Amino acid sequence: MGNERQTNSEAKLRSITYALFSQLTASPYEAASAVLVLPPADMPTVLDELQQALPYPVDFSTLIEVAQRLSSTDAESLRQDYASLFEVGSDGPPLPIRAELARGRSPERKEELVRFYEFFGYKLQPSWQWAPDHLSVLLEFMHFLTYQESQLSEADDIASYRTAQRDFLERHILDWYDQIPRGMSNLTLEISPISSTYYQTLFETLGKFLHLDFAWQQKNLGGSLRSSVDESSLITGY
Amino acid sequence: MKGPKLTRRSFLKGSALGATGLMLKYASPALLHAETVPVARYRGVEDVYRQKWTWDKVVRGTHGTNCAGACAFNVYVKNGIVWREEQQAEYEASGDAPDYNPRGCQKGLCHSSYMYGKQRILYPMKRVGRRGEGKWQRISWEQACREIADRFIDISVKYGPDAIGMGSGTQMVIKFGTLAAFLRFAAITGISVPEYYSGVGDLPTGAYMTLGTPTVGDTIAAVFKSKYILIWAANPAVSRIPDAHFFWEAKYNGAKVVAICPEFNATAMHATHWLNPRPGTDLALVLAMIHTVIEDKSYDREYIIEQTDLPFLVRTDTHRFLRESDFLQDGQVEVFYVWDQRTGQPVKAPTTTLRLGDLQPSLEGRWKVQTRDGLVEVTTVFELVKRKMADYSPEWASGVTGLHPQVIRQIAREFAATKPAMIYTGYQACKWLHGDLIHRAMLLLLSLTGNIGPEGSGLQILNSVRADGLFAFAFAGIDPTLRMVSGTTWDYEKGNMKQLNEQVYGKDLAQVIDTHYQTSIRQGWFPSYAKQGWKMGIFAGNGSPGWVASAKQWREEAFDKLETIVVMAPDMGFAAHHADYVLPIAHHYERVDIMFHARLPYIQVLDAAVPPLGEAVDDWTAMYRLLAAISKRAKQRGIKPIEDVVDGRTVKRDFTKYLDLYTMNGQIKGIRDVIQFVLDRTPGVPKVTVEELAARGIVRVKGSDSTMWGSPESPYHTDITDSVVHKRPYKTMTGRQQFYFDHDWFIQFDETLPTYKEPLRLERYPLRFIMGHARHGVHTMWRDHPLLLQLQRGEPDVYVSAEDAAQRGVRDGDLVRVFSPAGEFIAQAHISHGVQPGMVFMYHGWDPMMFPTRHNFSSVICSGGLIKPTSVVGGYGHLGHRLLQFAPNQTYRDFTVDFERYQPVTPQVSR
Ligand code: SF4
Repeated sequence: MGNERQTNSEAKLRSITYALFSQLTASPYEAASAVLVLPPADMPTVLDELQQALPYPVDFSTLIEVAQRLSSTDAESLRQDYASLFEVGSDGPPLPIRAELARGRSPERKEELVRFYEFFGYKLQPSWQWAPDHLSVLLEFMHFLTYQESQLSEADDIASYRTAQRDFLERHILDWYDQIPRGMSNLTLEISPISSTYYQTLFETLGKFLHLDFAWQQKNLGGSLRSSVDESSLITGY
Repeated sequence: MKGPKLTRRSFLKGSALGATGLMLKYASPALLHAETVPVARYRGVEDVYRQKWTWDKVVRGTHGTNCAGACAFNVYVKNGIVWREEQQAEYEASGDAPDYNPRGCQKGLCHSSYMYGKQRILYPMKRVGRRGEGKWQRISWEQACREIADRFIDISVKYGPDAIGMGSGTQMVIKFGTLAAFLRFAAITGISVPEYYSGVGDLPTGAYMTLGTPTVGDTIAAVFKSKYILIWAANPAVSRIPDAHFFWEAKYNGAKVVAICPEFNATAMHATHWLNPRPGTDLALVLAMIHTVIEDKSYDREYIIEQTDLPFLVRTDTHRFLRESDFLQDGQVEVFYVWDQRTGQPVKAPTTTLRLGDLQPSLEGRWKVQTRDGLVEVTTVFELVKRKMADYSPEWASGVTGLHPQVIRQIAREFAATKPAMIYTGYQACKWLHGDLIHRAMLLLLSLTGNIGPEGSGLQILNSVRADGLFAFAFAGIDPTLRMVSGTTWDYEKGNMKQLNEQVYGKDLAQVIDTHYQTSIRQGWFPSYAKQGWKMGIFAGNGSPGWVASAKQWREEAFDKLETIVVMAPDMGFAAHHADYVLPIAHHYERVDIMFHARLPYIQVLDAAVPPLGEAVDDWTAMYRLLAAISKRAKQRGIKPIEDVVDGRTVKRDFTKYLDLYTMNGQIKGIRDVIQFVLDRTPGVPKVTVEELAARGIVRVKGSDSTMWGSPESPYHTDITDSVVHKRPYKTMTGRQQFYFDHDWFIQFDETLPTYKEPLRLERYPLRFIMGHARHGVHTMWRDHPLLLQLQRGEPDVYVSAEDAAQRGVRDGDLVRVFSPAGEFIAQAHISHGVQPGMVFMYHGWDPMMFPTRHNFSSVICSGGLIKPTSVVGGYGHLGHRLLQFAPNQTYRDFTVDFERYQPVTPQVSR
C-alpha cells in the first residue's frame, strides 16, 4: 500500500511537470489573454517544488531564474519570437514544433501516434486534430498518461501505463525532440535577447527532463517488460 | 472497465502540488465530461496496432490547381487527418473512345502529405521587420482585417479604388465558386483586376483573330478520334499526365503521333516521330508545311472556299480587302467580295450564312474592277497566300530549323493525306512575341487540309466553360462594373517596361512599341492605366510576382513601391515572404468548390475532407472577413460613399454596404451557396445540388455524347461546329476563318498573312532560354515538396547541352549563373543530350525562394515589355480591346541568355 502511494505521488509529480511543459511549449497565441503569454506567475515556485520532489535529480534552477526575470513587457517579444521560431518562416519555420516537420514525412509514425491516442482514449478537439504531433500535444498526452497512472491502484495497471509512457516518450518525442534545443543554439534567425535566453533555457531544460524521465522509467521498469520492439511485426493500417 | 475519475483543475492552483487535477488544453472536452476513462492494458507497442484501422469517412475531392486535370479522388480521413488519396476511377467514355480513366498524377497523389508540410501558412501574419526580412508577428484575423480594411478605405478614398490591384493566381481562377466570389468582391469594391490570361502569355490571340474565339479545343478523347496528331509546342506526357494516355491509345489505334519540340522530352520519347526544330523556329516549319500543301495542291478546295476568307478579293494597289465602300460612298466597310466564276464579276460574300448558293468563288486569279478610285486590280487572299508561301520552301525552312527538307515534306504530306488530323498545342506558342503568327499559320495549315471542324481535327488548345453562372453571381444586384485590366499593359506601365526595352532591345524598338501602344490609347482602342496609381497589391490564389516576365524590373518598379502588400495563400512563397500581411488560406482538401475542365465532360467537386489547418479559411471567408471589416470600419469612421467612374459610368461605392452586397443581404451564407447559385445558372449543367455533387464526386455535363464540344447543350462554347456544320458565319470581321488582315499596322509590319518572323535574340547572349511545365509541380504548387524533390535533383536545375557546358567548363551538377541583360539566377547545371546546343531549358514553377539569391528564371526574362503593336489594334472588325479574347500577350521567350560556372564567394541570400 505504501509503495502504491509513493508511485501515485511520483506519477502525480511527473504529471504536473508534463502539464507545465505542455503549457510552456504551447503557442503563446493560443493563450486567451496576454497575461498568459508569460509563464504562470507561480511557475518558479512550482518548478522549485517539482525539482525537489521529482524522483530523479532534475535541475530547473536556470529556467526558474530566467522566468523570474521576465516581465509583462516581454510578453509581446515572446509571442512574436515563438511565431518566428516555430510557426512561420520564409522556408517554413526554422525550428520544428511538430514531429512530422522534424523527422520528415512518416505516415507510419503518424499512424502509430494516432493509434496511441485511440488506445488510451485520448481524443483531440477538432481544431487540433490536424496537429497530433505538436510538441505541446505530445506533452499533454504524457501528462494524461501520468495523470491516469496517478489515479490507479492495481500494480498491473500501473505497469501498463508506465510502459506506455516509456514507449511513447521514446518513439514519439525523444526520437526528434533534440532538434529543437540543437536548433536553438545554432539559430541564425535574429530574435530578441530575452526570447533567445528564455526559449533556449526552456527547451534545454525540457530536454534534460525528458531524458531523465526516460532513464528513470527504463530503470524503474527493469527487465519485467520488453524495451524494444520488432518493427517488422507492426502492420500499418492504410 | 472503469477507470480513474477525471477532474479539471487550473494549473495556477498547482503550486499546492497534490491538489492538481487533469489539465487538458487540446483534448476534446468530452474527455473531461466523461465520468471515467477506461484503463487500457498495454504491454508493448504492438497492442496499439491490434485495433483494425478504419476510416472515419471517405470524401470526394480533387486538387484545385491549374493542372487542368480536375481528377476525381477519394480522400481518406481518420481522426481529422487526411491520410491518403486514391483515384475515384468512375469515369465513362465519350462515344467509342476509351474512357477517361485513370486520371491522376504523382503530385496529386501526395497532396495528403504536402498539406501538412512546413510551407503551410497557418495563421494571419503581420510583417515586423523590413519587407522580405522574414520577421513576422502572428496576429488575429480581427486585427489583420481591421488594419487592412483601414488601408483599403484610405487608398480607395484618396486615390480611387482602382489603385488597389488584386492579382489572382491560377489557384483562384480555376475554382469556379471561388472565382465567382472573387469577381463579386472586385465588382463591389471597384479594385483593378489584372487579367492573367494574356498576362502570363497564355492567350491564343492568333486563334481569336482567325476563328473569333481564343478558346478552341474538344475533350481530350477527341485525340483518340484523330489519325494524325502533331503535338506541337506542348509536352502532355509531363504536363497533362491524366490526359496523355489518349495519345498513346490513338497511336495503338493506328494514328501517327508526331512530337515537335526542340528538346527530347517524355512526349517525344513515345511519339511515332520526333522533329526537333531549333528553338523558336516552329513558325518556319509550319510555313514550309503550308508551302508543301499548296505546292502539292493537296488542299481542300471546297472547304476553304466555303469556310475561309481565302477566296475574298483584295486590292493589289492598297492591299485592302475589296469592300462595298469601294463601290459606294456610303457602302459598308465590312461587306466583302469574291470573284464569281459563273458571272465573271465580283459578288458580295454572303454575310448571314456561309452557304454559297449559286456562287462559285474563284480561289485564284487577278481581275480588274471599277471602283470609286477608278480601275483597280484585285486578287484573292489565296493568291496572296500562295505568293507568300512560295518563299517558304522546305529547303529554306531547313536552313532555319535544322530539319531536313525531306522530313518536312514527308510530315506535311502525311498530314495533308490523313484525315482527321489535329494539332495539339499548349500555351507555349503564345509566349513568343509572334505567337499569334504561329497560331495563325497552324490554323491555315489545318484549314487548307479541311481539318477545322471534323471530330478528331482542329487546333486543340483548351476550351472554356460558359460563364453565365459565374457572371450572374458576380453581378447579382449590383452594377456590372468589373475593372478587369490587361495584365500585360498593366505590367508595362507599372513596371516601367519601356525603360527595360530601351536597355535590352535598343531605343528604336522600344520607341516603335511605345509609339504604337500610345497611339492605340489615343485612338481609344486600348485603355491606359498610366494615370492610375497602384498603391495596394492583394495577391491571392498563389498569384506571385515571381512569375511576371522580367520580374526583377517589375519588382523594383512596381511591387516594391506598393504601400501595402497583402497575400492570401495556403503556402509560403516569394509573394508571402515579401508581404505586409499574410492571410492563411485553406488547401485543396479543406474547402468546398467545383471545377470545370474542358478536356473532360464532368463537373468535379472539391469537398472539405477536414477543417482548414490552423486558422486558415477558404477564399470566400477571407474576402467576407475583409469586407466585414471594411464595412465596420467605414461605419465607425463615418466614411462617406465615393464616386467612381468605370468605363465612363459613375458608380457610387458605399463602403458600409460592401458586406451586405457581398452576401446579397445575408442570402449567401458561404461558398456552398455561391456554388449552388453558379451551378443553377451555368448552361449544360444537369440539375444537381452541392450535396449531391459532393456525394458523387463527378457529374456528367450535358451534350457530351461525342468527343467534341459541338452540342449547343454542352457547357462548353464552340462556334466552330456552328460554322462548319450549320454554316453560321464566324465571329470575325469577314465572318469566315480569317487569314488576311488589312489594318494599316498589319500592312506596315507585313503581317497581313502568316509570315515568318524570327524571334528576337540578344547580341553576346548566344543561348535561347526555353521553359516548360514541370512533371513534379503545377506552377509553384508542390514544387518544394520534399517527396517530389527526391525524384529530381532536389533543387532548381537547368538543362544544358554537353557542348555548351564543355565550352564553359561546366560539369554536370555544378552551380551555374544564368544571365541576361535583365538579371540572373543561380541553379544546378543538368547536362542533357536531349537538349540542343544553343539552348538552355528549364522546367518552370521553381519559386524564387528556392534559389540561393532568391531570383528565379523570371529574372533573366527580358521580354516583359514587348507589346506587339498588332495586338493593340482596335476599331477593326473583331479586333480591339476584348479582355480574355484579344489583348497583347505577355512575351516570355524573345531573348537569349548565357551561363557560366558559379562559385559563391560568400553565402548569398538577398532580399
Ligand atoms: S494535380 Fe491535377 S492532374 Fe494531378 S491528380 Fe490532381 S487534379 Fe489530377
